[in-house]
Amino acid sequence: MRVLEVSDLEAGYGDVQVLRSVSMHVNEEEVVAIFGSNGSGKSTFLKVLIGTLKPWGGTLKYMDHHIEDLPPEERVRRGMALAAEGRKLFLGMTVEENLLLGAWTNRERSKENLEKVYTYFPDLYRKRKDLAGDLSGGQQQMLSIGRALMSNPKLLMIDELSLGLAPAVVTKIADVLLRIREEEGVSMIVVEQEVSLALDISDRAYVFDLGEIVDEGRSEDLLRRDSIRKTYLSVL
Amino acid sequence: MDIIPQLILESLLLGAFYAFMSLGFSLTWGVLNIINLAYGSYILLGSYLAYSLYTYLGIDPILSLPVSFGAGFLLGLLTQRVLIDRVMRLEPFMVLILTFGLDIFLANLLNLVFRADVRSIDVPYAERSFILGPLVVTEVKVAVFLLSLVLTGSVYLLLQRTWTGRSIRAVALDREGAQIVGISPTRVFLITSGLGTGIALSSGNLYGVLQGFTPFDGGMLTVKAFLVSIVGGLGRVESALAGGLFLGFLEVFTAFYLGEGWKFFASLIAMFLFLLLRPRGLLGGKYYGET
Repeated sequence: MRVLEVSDLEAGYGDVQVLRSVSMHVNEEEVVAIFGSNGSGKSTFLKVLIGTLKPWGGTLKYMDHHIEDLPPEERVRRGMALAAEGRKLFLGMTVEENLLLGAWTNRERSKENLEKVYTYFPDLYRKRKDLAGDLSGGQQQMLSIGRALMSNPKLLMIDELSLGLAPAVVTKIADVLLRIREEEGVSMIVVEQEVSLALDISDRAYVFDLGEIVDEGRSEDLLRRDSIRKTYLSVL
Repeated sequence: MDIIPQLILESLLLGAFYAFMSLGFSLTWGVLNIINLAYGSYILLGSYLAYSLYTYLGIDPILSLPVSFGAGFLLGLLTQRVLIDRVMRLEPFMVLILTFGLDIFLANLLNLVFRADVRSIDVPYAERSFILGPLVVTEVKVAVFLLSLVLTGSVYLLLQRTWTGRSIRAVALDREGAQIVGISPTRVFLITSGLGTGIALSSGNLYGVLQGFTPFDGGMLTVKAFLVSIVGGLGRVESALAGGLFLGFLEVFTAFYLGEGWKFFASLIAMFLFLLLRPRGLLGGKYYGET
């Protein structure tokens, strides 16, 4: 079953068009990577998916229902969650308060989900009384993902997973993501500039350039493709 | 007799009231990012409501606090839904003009109904005093002090311990972050506006028993709320408390040593200094917006 289906999506800011005729899909329990150069529209695409940016045209179907006109809160209620670029944490609130707010649409299961998130990210349990703004970059990324998990998502979207993080931290977070997929059956969209990482953790991938999808395929196939290796992996 | 302990006591009593009075202004500013120039007139609306309930129905202004809060909450919801929500999408300056117009409208409405004469709510306990050794304090000031603390504490608990309070703080800290966890900023704006206006009107009850008032005192009250928010900082109840106490001390000591006429001048100097040297205020929440 397709969790998400996007057809001919167009979007932008003011008069500037950023996304042009983007079509893609995500299957159940699938990890899909999106990569491409800076300014290629990857983050804009996620903003349209979660609903903080209205599309200009095209269709968005989530679990077989049109969601183009739904506000973000309704999309979250239906099982979409975003760990956003810049993390968008509540820096003046504690780690635990941030996590609890992640369960805004799913309050009855907040305690149970809190324990689950602490199991995935023990660092967050140790820092639960600290302000989110006082955490390291890696811990903030864990908090951002943990907060998104608090709503019991069916589709988890992660923007710039590795941005500004040490490789060891990225590996640790990527391992947890694969565990989450396995244990929770969550589908994922991972937007990532580090192409080898994106292809390592995903089943399929889409390549964005200037707001369009210019390539797509199974991740293992893309890893072997010369054009991808030359352009994104600096392999000659 | 040493006057200092008496001045400190008066400052604390007044400061606690200023903290509660300004809380709605600071909250609306911190969450909606708007400066409500009609805030002082909202306070006066509460004073006149309490005055009417006391004069015509004999209801004590302390007992009519929930009525003022309820009326203010509804007024805040209505104003937000019908007026501010439409304008705040445009640019901040438009909200200033809108609330300035609202302030003029409310002042003239009150003038039309109650005339410009100075009114006061003369509760029987206004003249009675407690004498604590060398210290003398009127019962009404003690009542206002205690009620201000209790009401400020209630707002603190609401913001810290409830889901609604957390959502208000979340929107104050990061509006887009709040949206992506499923919080509707529009709903939070409505609640905050209701809460802020409710606080304004109920503080009007307390203001009305502390001193006389006319329909045109709103501007001065708005400036005081503005000063408390700048000095204390935005975003937290503790900040309003710090700003309120600062203003209480500043007014009481300036009035005693330099004369009543210097109070306002000293407040303005303090405001400029804080804006220049410490825009986050005395106790602005870490990571909350700067004034």
